[in-house]
Amino acid sequence: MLTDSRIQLTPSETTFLRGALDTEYQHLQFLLANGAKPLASEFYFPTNVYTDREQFSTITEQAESAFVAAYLAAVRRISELGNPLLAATAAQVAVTEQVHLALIRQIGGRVPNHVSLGQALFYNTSDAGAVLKGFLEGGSGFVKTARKLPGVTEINGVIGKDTVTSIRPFTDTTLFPDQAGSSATMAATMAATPKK
Amino acid sequence: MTTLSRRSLFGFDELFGYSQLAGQKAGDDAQTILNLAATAETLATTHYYNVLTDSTIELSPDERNILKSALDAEIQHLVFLNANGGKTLATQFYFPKNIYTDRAQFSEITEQAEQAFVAAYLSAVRRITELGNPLLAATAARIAVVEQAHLALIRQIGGRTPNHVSLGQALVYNTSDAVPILQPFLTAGPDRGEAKKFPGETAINDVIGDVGVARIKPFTDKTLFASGTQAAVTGDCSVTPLSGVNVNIREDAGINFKIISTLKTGSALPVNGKKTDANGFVWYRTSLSGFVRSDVVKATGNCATIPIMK
Repeated sequence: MLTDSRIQLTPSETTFLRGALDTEYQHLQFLLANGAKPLASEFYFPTNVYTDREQFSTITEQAESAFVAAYLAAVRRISELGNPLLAATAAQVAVTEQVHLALIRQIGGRVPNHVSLGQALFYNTSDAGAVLKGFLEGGSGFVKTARKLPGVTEINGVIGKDTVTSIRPFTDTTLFPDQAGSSATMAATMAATPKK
Repeated sequence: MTTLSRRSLFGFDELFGYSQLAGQKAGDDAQTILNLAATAETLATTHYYNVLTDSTIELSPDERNILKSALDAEIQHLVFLNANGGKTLATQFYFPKNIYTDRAQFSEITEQAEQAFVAAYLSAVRRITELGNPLLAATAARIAVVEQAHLALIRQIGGRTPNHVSLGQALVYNTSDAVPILQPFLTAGPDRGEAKKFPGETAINDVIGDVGVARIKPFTDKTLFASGTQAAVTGDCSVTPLSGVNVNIREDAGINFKIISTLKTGSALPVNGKKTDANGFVWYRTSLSGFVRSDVVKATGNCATIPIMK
């Protein structure tokens, strides 16, 4: 969107999208550091998503809605699995995705804050797979050529100075050092700390 | 900027009468979290009501709509908390002078308050998980995401970049640790205006008018995932099969497109777009990125405003 689009963005919209890119990339780094493995590194996007502002806003809102709902389902499930710090970290991620959703709606000319609660579209994170299917497999309504995940240098080059503040997750043991005493907390922290 | 000092805790504790003081290893109990959250929402509704009714700040129509929607979201949070046993522990608040006359002051102070609300709900997710209630933990997260959106839009009103952090900020470990941030709003002082009373639901709804936000069911609502794993969303447009038979969800708008899933009898899916096929039939695009034909489903909610797809 920031490098290969014909949609005319205002400077503040560009700044927001660069910040969103930085945020998403930091989420990815956190997840990778905690053992996650992405199942795809190239994606198909709907036709006209980078040429038509309304299409960009509508499709991106749908994707962000799925991301918010997936992280909220993760909060529920991780909570069920008894990991308080990781559940709270999933919530920390969800809140930034909801901000993206709101600002993407604003780009499309819609009221940005339109819900009383984050929408719970899924009970489990894996239920979001159907929403992402088109982006992974393409098909009718999607472009035929997949786009690859750009490298860190390219991403940082686009973000430039419009970075966001890096916030420590609940799983960071240095965040609340006085509170890490209970066994439940320690277990959760160890489980969610990047392996060195 | 408000600092996280605990010096003022005692007065607040006496006023609020809760037993789990900040910093205690035992952590908050559920009632403490509910009471503090209800009090914070009462503060938030009082604040947004006042900026919409008793302010000299010149707000654009878009900004007023954002603030009305924020007010509606906060009153719905309060209603939810009260319905679940939360008790609002203060009904009048002291706001800084100039907060309703100076745009920058309004934006900065409100950002601090929203930041405290987000942090309080995030710590509630942590603590409620510890207490073994996943659905309530996820519901707390669902409130937190809305508060973070308010925070972003309030920053925008002040001319600052709205999305400025990589994660929601974890300022406190327990919800009660946020008490020192809220306490100044409960205390009269030379830098504070006259007490502002909670206006009540009727007055709030009059101000919101027809701008409000979509009513969304919390995770704790047992009907939310009653018929499978998909959410039934109230307020927003959603579809459910018309007549006791499952409905095909196709990859695009037309009966020749591949069936990618099924909308089962008794279940509902949110709708986020619609388009017309070559034969003139209207199809709804569901949250599963597939389409259902409009004549085999019942659509409810705000369906008139869903985007028309090309």
